[in-house]
Amino acid sequence: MTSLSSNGTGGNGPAPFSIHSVHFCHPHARDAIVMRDPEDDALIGATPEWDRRGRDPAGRVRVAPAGRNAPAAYPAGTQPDIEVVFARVAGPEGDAAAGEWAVGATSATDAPAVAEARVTLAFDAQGLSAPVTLRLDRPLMGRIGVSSPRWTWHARRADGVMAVGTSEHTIYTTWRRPLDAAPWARPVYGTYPNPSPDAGVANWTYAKLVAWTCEWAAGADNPKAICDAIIANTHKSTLQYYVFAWDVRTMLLQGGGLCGGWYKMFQGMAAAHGVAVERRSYSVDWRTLDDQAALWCAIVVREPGLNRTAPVEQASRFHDADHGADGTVREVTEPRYRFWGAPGSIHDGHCVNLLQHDGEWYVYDVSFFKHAVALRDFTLPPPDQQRRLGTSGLGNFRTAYLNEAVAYMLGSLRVRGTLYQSRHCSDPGSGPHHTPCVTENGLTVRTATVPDDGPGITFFWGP
Amino acid sequence: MASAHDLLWRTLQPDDAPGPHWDRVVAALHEISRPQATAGGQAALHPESERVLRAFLEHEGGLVLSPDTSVPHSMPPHEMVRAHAVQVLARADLAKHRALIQHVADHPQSSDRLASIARAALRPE
Repeated sequence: MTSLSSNGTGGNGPAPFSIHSVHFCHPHARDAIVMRDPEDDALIGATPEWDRRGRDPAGRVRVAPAGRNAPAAYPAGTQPDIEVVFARVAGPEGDAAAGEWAVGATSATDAPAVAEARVTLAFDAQGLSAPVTLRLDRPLMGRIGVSSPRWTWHARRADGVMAVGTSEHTIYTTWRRPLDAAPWARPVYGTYPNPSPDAGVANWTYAKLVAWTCEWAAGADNPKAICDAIIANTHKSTLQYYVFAWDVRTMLLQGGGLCGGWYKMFQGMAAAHGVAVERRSYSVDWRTLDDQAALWCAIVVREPGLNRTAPVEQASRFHDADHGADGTVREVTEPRYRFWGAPGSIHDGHCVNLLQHDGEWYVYDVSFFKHAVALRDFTLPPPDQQRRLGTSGLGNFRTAYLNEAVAYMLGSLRVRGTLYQSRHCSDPGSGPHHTPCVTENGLTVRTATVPDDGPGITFFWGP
Repeated sequence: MASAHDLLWRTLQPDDAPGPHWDRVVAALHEISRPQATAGGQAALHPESERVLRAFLEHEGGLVLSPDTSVPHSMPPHEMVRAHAVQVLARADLAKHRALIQHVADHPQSSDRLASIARAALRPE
């Protein structure tokens, strides 16, 4: 038997055929993770991820449309089957291509190689073989990560080993198989419709989510470690807070979103690894106390948000009560995010994720935090928005998280006889309608100083 | 109130002119949602308010807003308006508007949050 040369190529020169395409997420693949491209929502593995037509004469990978070299993904520790197509070389040299061969590939990196297998090749009028199913020679790495196999393909016959070409790939390994995408991937009406004809594929994800999180969470081996790595590194995505998008696809296309999209994005990132997190929104509960006083009209956030240096809202004048609603009032004009409620209705609020791990709850606020917040004695509120819930019934949610996330609660309150009233413009139809109207901030009470007894702080909890 | 109605209708009618700023839309929603005293002495939603709120629920698509508008954080503006409309209409006359609110609750294009608000409106405490 002729052995392979030291560089993995055959010692008898080139074979009468060459590697043409490598398909990881082929129709019969058991473990390949289905990924989409947000640009058109198409399945990346609908056609072979690696296609030689994407190489220039020097062998360098070219970008579409001439050809492609797209990534593949699998759960950690799986041993993929791939489909490979070979191309007969042109001219009389190609006449010897058909028939029985043993084909495989060696790996120039730590990644698995392609196990040699006996195949019978026949070539069509275009000079291409039917897809040949081959198996990697060992499982992919057993942890979250990225591998970059560089395969040197060979073909063997009784008369020796011949070179078939090389291919390079990017393979992501996730913690577990992705979860059903439906909970996080639903498009928002009026933005980008989902044009994919492959709606029957439930457990899919966006390639970007896999690429990002396999790098950020490399080696993480439990849901908490994975979620911690994601929230600590999401800024590396360069996606921002306060971009007008509320669903994952639009966020990927437009460079960010608001909290109503970010909690879906975080859920989608975790779901790419088979990790289930909860989504909750807590909506402002605007309770009118008398003709003029109201608790609370808005939650006020001073943090700039992900990849921002300052809140994007225009500066407005606030009346800060840093030591409680009956303390000194300090006038401040600066940009802050106001999540407005509406009198007697469920209106705006903030959106976060929650993870239960080893019996403990953790809140992940990826819009404004880079770390998880551990909760004690917390019970997850039902997402029915049916009734207001006081924060006093949620363990330490208030002290551990809310007081830090929401700097101030905005209300309409009297302090020593002076009414600080929050109100949107009194006549919205006056003046140029495309300009903001004067929105007056009432009293901004430092959240940490709002007593739990009495009206306290209440929210409506939703999905 | 007429100017508030006009402003809200404008968000549903695409043309070349910029639409209203979101702040004004919110203020207009607050204004038209207040029940008005009727001849019989009872408070009721103004008929034009009812028409525009129902129009929001029947409208499938986004709103026409100013290009430099602010926006709500948890939902896109068109969903926020629909969430507001289902609550106000349910309070005004649930029996009359139940079918339309149910349609919002069941619509596959409604977000989880909007559908949840619609379901809550259908089950008043």
